Amino acid sequence: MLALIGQRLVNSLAILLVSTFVVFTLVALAGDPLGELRDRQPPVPDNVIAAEEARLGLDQPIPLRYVTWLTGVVQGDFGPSVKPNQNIGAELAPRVGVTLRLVTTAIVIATLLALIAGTVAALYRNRIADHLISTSAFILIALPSFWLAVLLKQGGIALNKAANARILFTIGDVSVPAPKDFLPLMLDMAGHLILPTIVLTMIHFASWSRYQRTAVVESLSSDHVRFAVLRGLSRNRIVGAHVMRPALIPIVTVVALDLPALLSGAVITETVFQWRGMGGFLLESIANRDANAVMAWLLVAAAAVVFFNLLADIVYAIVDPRVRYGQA
Amino acid sequence: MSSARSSCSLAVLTFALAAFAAPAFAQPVAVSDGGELILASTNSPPNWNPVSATGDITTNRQQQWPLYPHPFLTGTDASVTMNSQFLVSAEVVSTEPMVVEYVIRDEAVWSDGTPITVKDFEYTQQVQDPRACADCTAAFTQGYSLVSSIKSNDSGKLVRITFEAPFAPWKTLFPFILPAHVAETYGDLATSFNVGLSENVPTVSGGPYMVESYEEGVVMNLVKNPAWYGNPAHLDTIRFRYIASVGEQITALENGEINAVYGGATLDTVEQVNQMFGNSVEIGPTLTYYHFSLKANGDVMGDAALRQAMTKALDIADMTNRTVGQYVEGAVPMTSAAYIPGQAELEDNTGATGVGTGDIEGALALLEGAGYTVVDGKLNGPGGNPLRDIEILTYSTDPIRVQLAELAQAQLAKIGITATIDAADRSRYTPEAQAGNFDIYTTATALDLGALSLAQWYQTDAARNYFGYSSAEVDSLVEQISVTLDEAETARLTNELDRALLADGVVVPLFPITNMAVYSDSYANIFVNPSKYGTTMNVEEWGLKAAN
Repeated sequence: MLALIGQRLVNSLAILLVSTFVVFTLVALAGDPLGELRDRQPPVPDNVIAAEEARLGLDQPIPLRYVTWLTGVVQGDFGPSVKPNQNIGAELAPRVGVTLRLVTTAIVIATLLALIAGTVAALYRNRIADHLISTSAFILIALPSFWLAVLLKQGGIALNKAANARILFTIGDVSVPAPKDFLPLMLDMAGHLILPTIVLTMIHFASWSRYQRTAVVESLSSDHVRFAVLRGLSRNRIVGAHVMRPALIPIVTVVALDLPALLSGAVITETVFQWRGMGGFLLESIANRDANAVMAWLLVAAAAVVFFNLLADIVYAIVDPRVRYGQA
Repeated sequence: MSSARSSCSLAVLTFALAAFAAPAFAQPVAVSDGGELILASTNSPPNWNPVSATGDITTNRQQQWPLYPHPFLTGTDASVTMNSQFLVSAEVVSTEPMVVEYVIRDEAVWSDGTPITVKDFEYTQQVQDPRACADCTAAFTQGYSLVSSIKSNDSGKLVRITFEAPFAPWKTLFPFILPAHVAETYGDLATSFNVGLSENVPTVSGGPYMVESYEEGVVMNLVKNPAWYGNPAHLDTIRFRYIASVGEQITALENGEINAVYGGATLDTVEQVNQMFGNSVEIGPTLTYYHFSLKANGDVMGDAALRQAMTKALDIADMTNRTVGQYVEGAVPMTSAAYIPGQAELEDNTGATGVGTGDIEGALALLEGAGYTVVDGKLNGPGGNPLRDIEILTYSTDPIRVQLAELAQAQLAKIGITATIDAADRSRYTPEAQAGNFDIYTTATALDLGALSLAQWYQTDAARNYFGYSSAEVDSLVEQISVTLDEAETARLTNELDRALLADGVVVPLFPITNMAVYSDSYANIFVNPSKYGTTMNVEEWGLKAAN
């Protein structure tokens, strides 16, 4: 197992190195980060533009800029940002925390809901429960997350007005100024968390529940389940021990593949609800043509991909004895 | 101005002179002391130095305005007046050489008690003068680099500035006076300007408010400056809450999470605030206006007759009605490239030159006179060959500029010209313009510097003259304006310059960009300010409405 993990890490590092160069080149070629400065009225003095070019290394060829960046990263320096006062490394840590706070709750709820809804839909296949769950899932999959978020915000505002109190919030992760006492602070943070969590949960629950339904349907028609029925085992035991467990493998794969994307930023949700997470960081960096900042985001995202793929392998081994036996 | 519903207040607004003149728009009403206001801002400060190249952006100027002394203020009618809270007087006392004398009020001090003196003027001048500080990354150096000496009296409250050559827009100098005694603690001129004042949150204020705390990308909290020497400020706390999208700002305002929004008015945002209750809305023009600028050289655009016909065929009023007119009641088109509607100096120069009148017959007559012919609806050049397609460069991220290009395309088709639109994103827009890859450029100009704002585009070899345009008459007028200190004469020359540009068919002014202030009905005295410094120019007047 360790050899497998080691091999995958080496492969991942090689892929990471190539991808950083490709992305760095693409961002560097995507446009001029000093475009706004050059477009000022009245014009900014030429020496100032030249100084900014030198600070950002824009006066160097792209391969040299990449090597400089790579050397800095190895030493823990992500390089200068287009925003002069922004320390990219220092900016990333709190943003990862914010995104984690936003997505963790949503992932847990969405996974549980998907497991339950997908299993129920499969067990009651082509009956009312299945139709209801499947139709709801398709509607949610078809809904643009941006639109859902805006709709929920308006719903939250209507609820607040009806209650004549501000229970739900539409921007940020905490009020400004934040409540000083612990309980009001927790309630305030919860009020900020509810709407974006619903958006993220609904989006992922819908697609994940479809995978779960399919997996359970396949599991139900497998030989070992038929054999369990013939053995006269109870329905609950068959579902719990013989249907659900193998049916977890596909959803583990799907969740593992989706998680890095979520942790690297629930871009739309963070944007609509103005959470200062990784998604917002990426959007802002791209808008500023800030190659170093985009690269820092990429490193975090890539690390998340590697980590969660490894995690998925480990979970496979836990839920599927064949994997363990195969290793043995 | 208050209303149960936003649209009520919006409906009474007019766009130009009438709006400027309306007392309710510009005159402060009674407010009570205390309370706080949360104002949304799309950007946190890129750095803390508002006159540095990086820091000199609209949102940063607006946020930092309450922290500095300013010699002049721009009113809601775009008039510039001396800031009597800070200065006793500011005037040109000699013309040869040009000498400007500022007298600072004795009471004017920084928040730490240090008097505001000539030293602060000296420092602010030096860091924006490349001769004194070549490494200082200042956004603007014009005027400062003409200063030959700064003298004072014993108290330091007299600032006597002598210029090597006259600098007509001298009132635009020193919009933010930097604290020399704070800068001194950071090191030499370049270090203090580029690093000290740029990277550190200001701890000292010379304005009505000072920074209490700052949370990167989330909020800046301002509290009253206890040493403020001007009219007492009313609000105890002002918070700038950073919300990147104006649409999300308005939703947050609707939910009571913030109290005010200030920014560009668009069809979407105006419709959004029209659906809200309990807020006041002010919409007004800024000193920045949209315009088309035409290339003045090359195979096709070098022909003045063709340019003149094109500028005559374009219809400014129609474009205004179909764009900003959709959401701003009484939107007024530009009649000048030098002054916006409502300014006292404005003259109908487009009318005088026939530019932007949508006069298709007149345009065709001009073309026929120059040897052009229209065959099967397609314009042929004097040689009989079909005119090549005309390229309109526009900015894809600004829906209004894209719409303007489309309208121009349709209007030019009426005189047989086929126009293609190049909607460039931010990475291409300016480089394409700089390379001259266009025939018509859809852009905007800020008139804060008066005629100098036009000179940057149209003077021979000017920094932004992407058009290959050169006119001895225009150059001469620019030179005259830059040394004319009499305001009436400046206005006359500027209008003459404007007419010369319009007659040459190099510019078609369209309409001013509009800003919008939306705030809870419980607040008062928040106005749209047409200058680039934004709404905080009268921040000390803001407050909660006094009980009747």
